[in-house]
Amino acid sequence: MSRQELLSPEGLRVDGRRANELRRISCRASVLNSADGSSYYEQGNTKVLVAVYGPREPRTKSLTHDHATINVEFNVAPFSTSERRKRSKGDKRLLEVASFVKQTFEGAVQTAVYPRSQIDIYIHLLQHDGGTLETCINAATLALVDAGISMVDYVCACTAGFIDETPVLDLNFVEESSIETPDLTVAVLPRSGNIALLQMESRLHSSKLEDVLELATEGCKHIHKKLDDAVLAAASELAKKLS
Amino acid sequence: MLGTRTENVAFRRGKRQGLMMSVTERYLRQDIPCAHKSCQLCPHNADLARRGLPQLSDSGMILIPDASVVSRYIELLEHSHALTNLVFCQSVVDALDRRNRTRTIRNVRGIAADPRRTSMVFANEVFAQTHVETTLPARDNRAVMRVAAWYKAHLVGAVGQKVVVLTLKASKSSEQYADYQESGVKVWKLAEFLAEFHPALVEHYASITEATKDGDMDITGMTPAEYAQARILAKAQSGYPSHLSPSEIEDGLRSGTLVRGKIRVLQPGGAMRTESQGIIERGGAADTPDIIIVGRAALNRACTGDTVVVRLLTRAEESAEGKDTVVEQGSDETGDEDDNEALAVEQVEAGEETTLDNARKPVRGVVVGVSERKWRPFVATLQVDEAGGSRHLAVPVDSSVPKIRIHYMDTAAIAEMYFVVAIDEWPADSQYPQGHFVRVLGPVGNLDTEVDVILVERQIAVSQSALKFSLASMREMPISTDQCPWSPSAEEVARRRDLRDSLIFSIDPKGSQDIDDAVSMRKAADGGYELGVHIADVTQFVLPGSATDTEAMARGTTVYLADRRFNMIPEVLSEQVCSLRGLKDRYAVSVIWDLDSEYNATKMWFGRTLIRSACEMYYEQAQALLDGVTNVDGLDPKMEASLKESIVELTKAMRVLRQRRYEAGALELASTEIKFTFDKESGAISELLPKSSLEIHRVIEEAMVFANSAVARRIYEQFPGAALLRRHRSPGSERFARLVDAARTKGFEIDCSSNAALADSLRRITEASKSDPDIVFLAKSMATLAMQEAEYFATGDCGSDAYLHYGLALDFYTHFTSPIRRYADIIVHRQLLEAVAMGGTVFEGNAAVGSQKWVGDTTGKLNERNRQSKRAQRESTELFQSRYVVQRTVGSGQEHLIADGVVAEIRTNGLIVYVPKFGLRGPVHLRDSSGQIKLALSVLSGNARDSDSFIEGCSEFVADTKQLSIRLPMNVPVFQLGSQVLRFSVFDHVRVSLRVLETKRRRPPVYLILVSRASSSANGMRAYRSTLPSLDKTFRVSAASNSASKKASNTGNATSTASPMMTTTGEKLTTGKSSDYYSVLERFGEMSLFETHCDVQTL
Repeated sequence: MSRQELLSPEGLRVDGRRANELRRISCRASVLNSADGSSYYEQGNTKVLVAVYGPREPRTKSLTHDHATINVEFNVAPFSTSERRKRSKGDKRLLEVASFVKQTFEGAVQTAVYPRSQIDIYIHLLQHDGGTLETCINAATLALVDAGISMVDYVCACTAGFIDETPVLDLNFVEESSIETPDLTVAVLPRSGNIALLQMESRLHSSKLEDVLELATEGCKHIHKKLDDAVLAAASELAKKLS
Repeated sequence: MLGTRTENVAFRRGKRQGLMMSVTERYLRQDIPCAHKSCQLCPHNADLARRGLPQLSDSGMILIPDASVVSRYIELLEHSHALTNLVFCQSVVDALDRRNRTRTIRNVRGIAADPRRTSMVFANEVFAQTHVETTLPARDNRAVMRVAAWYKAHLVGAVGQKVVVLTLKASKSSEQYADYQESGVKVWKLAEFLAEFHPALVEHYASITEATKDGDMDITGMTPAEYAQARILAKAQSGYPSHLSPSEIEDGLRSGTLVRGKIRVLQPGGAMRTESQGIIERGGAADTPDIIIVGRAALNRACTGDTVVVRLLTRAEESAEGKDTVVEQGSDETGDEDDNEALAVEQVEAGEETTLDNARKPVRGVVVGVSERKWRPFVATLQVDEAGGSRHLAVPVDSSVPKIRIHYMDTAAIAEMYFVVAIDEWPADSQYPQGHFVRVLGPVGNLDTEVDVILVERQIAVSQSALKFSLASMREMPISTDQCPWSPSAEEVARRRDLRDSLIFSIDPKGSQDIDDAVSMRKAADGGYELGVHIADVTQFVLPGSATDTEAMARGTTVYLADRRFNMIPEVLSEQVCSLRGLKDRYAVSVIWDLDSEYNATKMWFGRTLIRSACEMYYEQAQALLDGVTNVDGLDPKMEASLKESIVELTKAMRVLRQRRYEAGALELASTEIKFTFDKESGAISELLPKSSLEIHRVIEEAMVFANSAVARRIYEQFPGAALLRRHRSPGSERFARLVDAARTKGFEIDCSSNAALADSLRRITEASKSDPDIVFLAKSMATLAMQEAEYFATGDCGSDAYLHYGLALDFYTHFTSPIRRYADIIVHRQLLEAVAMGGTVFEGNAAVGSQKWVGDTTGKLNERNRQSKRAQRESTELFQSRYVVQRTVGSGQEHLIADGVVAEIRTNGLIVYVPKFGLRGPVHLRDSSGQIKLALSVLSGNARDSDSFIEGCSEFVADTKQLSIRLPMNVPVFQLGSQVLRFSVFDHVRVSLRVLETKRRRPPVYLILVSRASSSANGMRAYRSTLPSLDKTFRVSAASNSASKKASNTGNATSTASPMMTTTGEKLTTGKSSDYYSVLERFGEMSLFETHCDVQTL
């Protein structure tokens, strides 16, 4: 479809999906040996590698004594986009994503279980094709589960936008970079349905918000299933090794 | 849900790096609907129907055009409704998109949305059964064939319809199609197909073939990668030549091969200017002719106001240049394709000036360097790039500024808004300068926003709210409220000369708050007079270096807009403490002369005083007193007698002084000032009045001139090097050439060798055309325009021979009389007070006022502020004129706004007409940019209703400085015009209909349409009628019956001339009931009974 046609009159998107379809998700837990927990997560062409260390003794002295601190670092590989670009560590965009992830998990990880300790989440974006924040959160969930850190629930994130009066699920890079497209990221705890994160930078008419939010939540449920499968696969592999 | 996944590789041009590969994923699905009406297999067909998309019908063939056909013959496909059941492949649409053929894609979508065409776009790229690997050779053709084969197979059970692929290249590489031959798909060449099935379309096909013969309409000529590469190359070539290095420029300037100057750039537009053009004005003298620079490439990124370095072209280069100055527009980068609006505006703006025969021909040049950029923040509106993305063009309000490319995400938020942009740079490979968005001003058309636009564009302030005074400066202000009015301090009273017992009064426009001058005049005992001019003592309150002073200096002047003003000093001073209000004790700086009985000054006194104005009058009151009226409205009857005596004496004195000045050669000049009155409730403009001029105006003016020039002499004595004076340079006689030429057509000779001679000539015109004040006004304003503006200067900065004020015919002149609204006057006050040593506290820590350098620098700034403030004033007048015309013509009943006008100028494509009633000049377009002559039909009928249609077949359009002529076609009755050739010269009277061009991008410009030639055609007709008394009776009868029958039909217009139309004179041309045979004749005219006209003519 042409560039200005993010959603064709026939109801197809640039990459052949319909409005309510997610991109293909494939993910695997325990991909790194050195880390306490790790995951590799692909959603369409967005690829993320996450390593989790901890809970471990904190590096810095200034910490709270009654719960663990979560520390998130987010890196983007220079080769992740078609235009090669190095980003400095202090890039505000990167820090912003890291702080969103941190905030999200501070609500979901049972930090009180690990007082005087630190949990480090290192996220590497290997290929970028839209939906950075959602993939980071999903991958981090998987890695945290892999590390055996106690959480109240999975955290599943999904984006949804609004193109041509239609709510659209899981935006890719082309859709996301179109300025007219509002782009809402929501992270939910699927069992309770509680919302851990709701983020949107663009404008969206308030009457449409509910539709878009509902679609995104629907997407989260699918992702929950995928993550659950991946955890199950990792666990059964581990069980096989043990037996 | 989703099938297999593939990746799609595409090439695009990167921002920094050249060619870039971008990889996107694609999901191949199984559920793409065929959209065929009688297909039962595709479940999603219903979904398409729900979306309101048409379905393929089962009658006729299914036509699948390939990329070559779609890209080259889209027009044929679009307009030939006989071609139905078209299936456009997504792969073809994508191919078009990769070549930026957005318009073609729009057309394809248009066809696919039209239910009559039963056509569709088939998403073959994401359909597993029709997907073709991108790496295969001739992949796009295969994709189309695959679609055709699939359709054939898919529908075979259902209908068995024929499937045809249309291409242009079947014969050349038919092996590509061979694979699919057995599938039963027929491949036709478009030409053969049309000849076979749609012979009616062959002609259309042939004409498109002819038109696109050498173009690159067919996208199949190049692969996408080649195309992207070619664009990068083209862009590199179309870049601008780089500028010379500073040392090269320095050498060039020294050796004289290069010339430096300030450039003025005109963007393309209008009838005669198809490309941008720059002008460097150098006075036009013989050895330094003006330089013109034609074309974008030659201008080489220069913008208006920049100081540029230019290489002059040799004659040989010039003639070569003439042939190939057309710079290739990078079609993709321009983004101009839909910018019709801008074009329309340009067309209304009048054409170029006609060139004078005797003016020296300008030479051509090429810009080789820019030594100083004059980039300020520009107000602009957005031209959205339809291709999406965040890079758009900002279209500056100032038409001399090129469009600016900006990066902005939320276009919806700034569409139809004025916003401020700044230019960052203009790289050599970019057609437009690169800039960035600064801030939003507000919606287009909103009055406050429009005022902000003027303020920003004229660099007066960043917005209206920024014109409030700071807290620091408010703290410096004396306190004056209603409860506790300010009163002079005892200490000052003791120091100052107390004039509270003298009869002093002020005369100002009605409703003035800031009264900065008052006068006194009384007979002295010795038969002479004592004349006093008393000016508000602002320097008492505005101390040098204070916050208020700094702010006032930065503002330079109070800015008067049509409906508001922005004060130079805080209101508490300008309207209360400094303002010389009636019956209030106020500080003043006075000039008092002792005059003898011949009104020669015998003694002069300058100094600080304390006055109490007896009365604040407005001009009309004072004029009434002067005219001998008693009990003038609003005046204290007890005071009247003494006031009257003073005014009469003052008038007598000023008449004499004025006469003396005229004898010395002072000019009486004219300027258009328009007053707007507003409806209090709705805020709408209720009236538009040219400012009246009474004798009393000139009396006060003369008194001020007298005071100014006296002060000028005094401060010059004290500060021979640093006195702030005002001069008006004597213009060269060549500047008046246009006026001289125009006057000659009316039989006047103008001698402009000196100001006295010019004044004399203007006076003769005034004498000779007493009945026609508009011509007098126009001649005067043309003279004003020809002259340079007066300016401030420090006396040490130029020789004493350059001090002359040409217009006023004074050797020394300055501005002293309005310190409330001009900063120059404040400096002059300080200098004067220093001179007469009454400075007191004023001069502490401020030696600057006596420094030549400081005064010289400050005058430079003040001149600039004054110029900008005047332009702002003019623009706000134009804004309100435009709003007024909108108010009167747009919406409610669409009445015509008709007014009398005088031709002020002749342009290459029409006339500039001055409309005295509204004080506006507007263009009358008689020829459009394609050279078509556009003469309104109303010129013949004299009826405003006909001003929207044009006379066809006019020819011989000739425009020079003196005259513009158009030959009317032979079949047109020229009953009232007398000749087949219509001539217009400057000073001709015309009637025009005022219109505005509706735009979204800037304030709607006013333009005019010619309604009739003579302004008083009706009067002319009446005069004509009186010579034909016998005819009158006959027509009277028919006229009566005519109007009666019309009434019966109840059309609302009793006769044509009673159409809703306003005339400036307040009278309708003729009324329906009057038995005027003119209206009858016109009725005949409408019935095409031209013979009637002829009959009358022969009589």
